[in-house]
Amino acid sequence: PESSKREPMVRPAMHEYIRYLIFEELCKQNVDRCIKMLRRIDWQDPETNCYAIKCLSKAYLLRFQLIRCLADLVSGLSSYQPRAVTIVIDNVFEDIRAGLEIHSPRMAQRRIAMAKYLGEMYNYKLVESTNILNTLYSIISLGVSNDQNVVSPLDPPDSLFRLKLACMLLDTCAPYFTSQATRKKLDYFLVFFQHYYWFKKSHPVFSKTENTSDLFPILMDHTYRDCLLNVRPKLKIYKSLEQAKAAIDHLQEKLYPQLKTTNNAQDPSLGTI
Amino acid sequence: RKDKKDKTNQIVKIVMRHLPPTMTEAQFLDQVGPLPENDSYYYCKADWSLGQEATCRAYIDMSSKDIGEVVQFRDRFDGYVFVDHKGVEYMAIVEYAPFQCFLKNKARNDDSK
Repeated sequence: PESSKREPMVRPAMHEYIRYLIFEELCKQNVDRCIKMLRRIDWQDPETNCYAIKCLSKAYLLRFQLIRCLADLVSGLSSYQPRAVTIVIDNVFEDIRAGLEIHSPRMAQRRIAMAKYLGEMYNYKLVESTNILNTLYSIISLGVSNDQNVVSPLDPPDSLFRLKLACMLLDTCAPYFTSQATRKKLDYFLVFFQHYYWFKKSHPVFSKTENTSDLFPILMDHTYRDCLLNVRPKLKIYKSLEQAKAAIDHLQEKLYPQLKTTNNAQDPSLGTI
Repeated sequence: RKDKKDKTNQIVKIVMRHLPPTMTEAQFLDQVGPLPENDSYYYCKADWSLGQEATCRAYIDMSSKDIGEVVQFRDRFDGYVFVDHKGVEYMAIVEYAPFQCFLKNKARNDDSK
């Protein structure tokens, strides 16, 4: 069969320029310059506006280290182009949500990059801690099965991707959860997060003794532990699923005594996302 | 699921997701309209890099004073099935938008170009 040669995509000069600024020019040293240049494009023109928003939303097209610069750039633009920046942020939330709903290995790189991007957006004060916490809760709960006999297609038992995703988001911004109230909320999340980890780890998929390659990957263990240490150096790390379960029960009793009867290891405040 | 956060006289931003990817803004307004009273709204075209899973979205800012209307809109369109021109069905989701608005950045506030 003849190899199908793809025509190189021809983009309008303006689009090429926007791409150049965001995907090639941008680096740690020249964020301010890029902001300046981007402010000069014609934001009134619907097509340019739309294209710039599109490029600013796609953090996964950048090198990983530069995602932070992109968040800085967007934050710098926010006082001049609040509408565009709002749409960019909406797009980021949508992308993360779509990733949770689709669950395809092809999306993995993209999802990690977008989690990083959202985390950096918190660090640059574009989004609030509530947004981050809601996202974290949805990562460990959306489409997740709490029953070992029920296999969720969105979060299969042998997939540890959501753990990685949550670790990425926590590593990126959780150390900056500094106020008393947000620290507290994060502590609550960490209880649920540890339960999720133990639930994954205790699943029968990872307990086949005859084949060691099926054991829970040690790398994941390290990522998880490093993440918790990074976020809360003095945190009490649960050593078993039972401990994590007991902690959730304890928390529920403390926060929602009236819910004692409904015992479904879910935070009732999950609703927002 | 949508959560009704009651904060008096504030804007509630709701999002309509999973609209058919080929739906244009005009078609959207035609099928959903008239939109409930709103402060602003915008329509997002599908992101084709998601391939088959691409869908359109619409964001609507409504005043929380008439929360009744918000709820009414949700009741009407959450789970509403849209059909594209090929006959594929898309079940729309109406939710409280994850991101409501950002605080104004005070650091760079000089808007003289």
